[in-house]
Order: sequence, then C-alpha cells, then structure tokens
Amino acid sequence: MTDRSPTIEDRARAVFTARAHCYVASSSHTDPQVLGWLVELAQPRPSWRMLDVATGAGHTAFAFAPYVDEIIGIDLTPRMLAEAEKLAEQQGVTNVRFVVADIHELPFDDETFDDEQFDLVTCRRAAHHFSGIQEALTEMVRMLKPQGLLLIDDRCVPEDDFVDSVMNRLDWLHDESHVREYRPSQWQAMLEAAGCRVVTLATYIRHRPLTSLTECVSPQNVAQIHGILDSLSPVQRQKLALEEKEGALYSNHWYLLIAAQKIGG
Amino acid sequence: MKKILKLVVLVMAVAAVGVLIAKLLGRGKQAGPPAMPERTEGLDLPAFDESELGGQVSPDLLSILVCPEDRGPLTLSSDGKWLVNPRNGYRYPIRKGIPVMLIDEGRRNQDLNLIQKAA
Repeated sequence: MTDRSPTIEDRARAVFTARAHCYVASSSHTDPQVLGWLVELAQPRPSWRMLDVATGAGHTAFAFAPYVDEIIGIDLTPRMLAEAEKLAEQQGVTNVRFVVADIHELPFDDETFDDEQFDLVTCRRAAHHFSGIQEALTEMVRMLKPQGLLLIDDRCVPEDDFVDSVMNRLDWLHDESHVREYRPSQWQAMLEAAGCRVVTLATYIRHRPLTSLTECVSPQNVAQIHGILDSLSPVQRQKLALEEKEGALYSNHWYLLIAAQKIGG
Repeated sequence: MKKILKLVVLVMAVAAVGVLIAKLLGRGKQAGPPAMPERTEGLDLPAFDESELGGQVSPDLLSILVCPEDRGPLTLSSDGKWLVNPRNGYRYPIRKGIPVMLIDEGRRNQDLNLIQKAA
C-alpha cells in the first residue's frame, strides 16, 4: 500500500467491511417498495446491460436481474461483494457479475466497447459516501449509452438549514465514511452538470426508529447521537418529527429517487 | 358493600403494580445502545485479501475491463489469477472469481518484469 493518509474511500471500505453482515438483511437496503419503484421507473428491457454502482450486498442488482440481460455490480469493499456472491447463489441469480472497483476510477473504457455501454446505471443508498460526487456522477454518465438512464436512490435533506446540518451530523456519527446528504436542488444541478436531463425527482420520507442510526455504531458515537437529540428545542424536534412511539424514539429520514437521462446521441 | 370496595381497591392496586412493571421493563429495553445483531454462522469470512487467488470470471466481463489507471487493455495471466497491464506491470488480482480493480491493488502487486516494450 502506498504511504498516504486514509481517504474517505479507505474509511468507507473499513466501515463496510466491518458491517457487511448488517447490510445483508438491512430493512432499509432491502426495502421492497423502493426496489419496486426503481424497477417501475426504469421500465427495463430484456436486452439491457446494467451497471449497479456501490452494489453492496447486491440488493438492487438482484431486484433488476429478472428483467435485464446482464448486470455488473461494482463496490469498493471486497467483503460486501463476498456477501453479494453468496446471496446471488442463494437466490439462484446467474446474470450478475461483481467487480471490486472505485466509482472515481472505473475500470471500464467507453471507447473500447462501443456497443457494450450500459443502458442503465443504478446507484442506491451510496452517493452520500462519495468523496467526489460530481466526478462520480460524471463517471456514471460516461458509462451510459446516449439516452441511457441513470437511477439514483439516496438519503437526502430537505431545503432547510437546520435539518440539513443536524441530519448530516447524525448520519456522520452513524457512519464516519458519510460525506454529505444533498438537497434536491443540489442533485438537480449536479446531474445537469454531469450531462443529464432529470426526468423524475421525487422525495420520500421514512419515519424510522433511532436504532437505524445507532445499529453497528460505537458506544461513543451512540452517546453523541443521544446528546444531540436530547438538546433539541420543541420546534427542532418537530422539524425532525422526533417522537416516542411504542417505547422507542422515531424521527424522519429523507430520501430521494431520481431518474435522469443522458443527453446526446 | 365494603367487600366490593376492598375488591375494587385490590384490583386497582394489582393493575397499578402491573403497569409499573411493564413501564420499568419498557424503560429497560430502551436504555443504552441496542445489542449488536448476532452474526450468522459462516459469515465470519477470512479477510478478502487473504482469500484464494483465481476463480472463474465471465469472458464477457474480462473483455470490457481496462486498467483503472491508464484505461488501457489488460491481459489475463496464464494461471488465471491476475489481470496484467503490460504497459506498467500493474497486476490486478482475481479473488474467488471477483476481479479487484483498484489502482492501489494493481500498484501493490506491480511486477516490472511483465512490462512489454512497445514494438
């Protein structure tokens, strides 16, 4: 390994290596409703080749596998792909191939396989970990055929300074490889800059228990998460829809779903 | 009448104790960080870095992979364990059939003897 300080990617790899088992059955990452929305939005065709960026344990790839010809799933963390391979075998999925790769340095060349660029690129619940989001989006768009479809599903924050700062802080405490959850307006601008036309941009909210922030997290960070929530004013609590339900704390988590089409061709 | 009153008080007392116990139990559940999910048997894999080199890789996949550093073509080593960049000697390992296409990994496994001079 070269001599250098750890990057966001190194941190992400460390976090997801340690937590790979948490994501195999994570209710958030296997959410059938959202996976269904993605397939519905894409309207995939049997001839399609798909690239699933930051495939993790492969949940998105497996949701699309019955509808497309071939899927390549890439992830930075070998351990996650080892879990994905096992899940593929368990589910009898045979058209998904996995490659350890960094979205910022993709091992595919758009010029060497003219007919083999991707019809669909998906990236689910990962973009908030990318150290260079604009560069990563540009790479994803580069991999698409002209008019190809880019589907993003990610955490986001509403256009509100308080919610933006507190949610980003809480999620960093949940996972120190977290970079930023962006606002819908920022997504729109970034995708346009990457050469896409945004076809659909929809936000949705999940009212989730605090355990979704504290699972697999160090006791020090859990204490800080509790500290932040305890210090909120009633108005701030209301903004997060923070409430006690059935003996547990729940709050809003914001998400967004985007379908964008590559311009040109 | 007194008996009925006593019975009512007794029932209320028992109910109150029950509610108190339920509350205490509920609080017990809420306090502190939740338990780590138990790891399923078999998930404790050896570090991927140590897992066996080689394994079957789909020819279609091999045909589109390029070196992430110079975006040039790669060749499969004769033992099927590495994807080699003949321009800089970077070797990308194939582990359990999964190509590891990270620049750091290619550089770490660089073999200068594999560099082929352009004709």
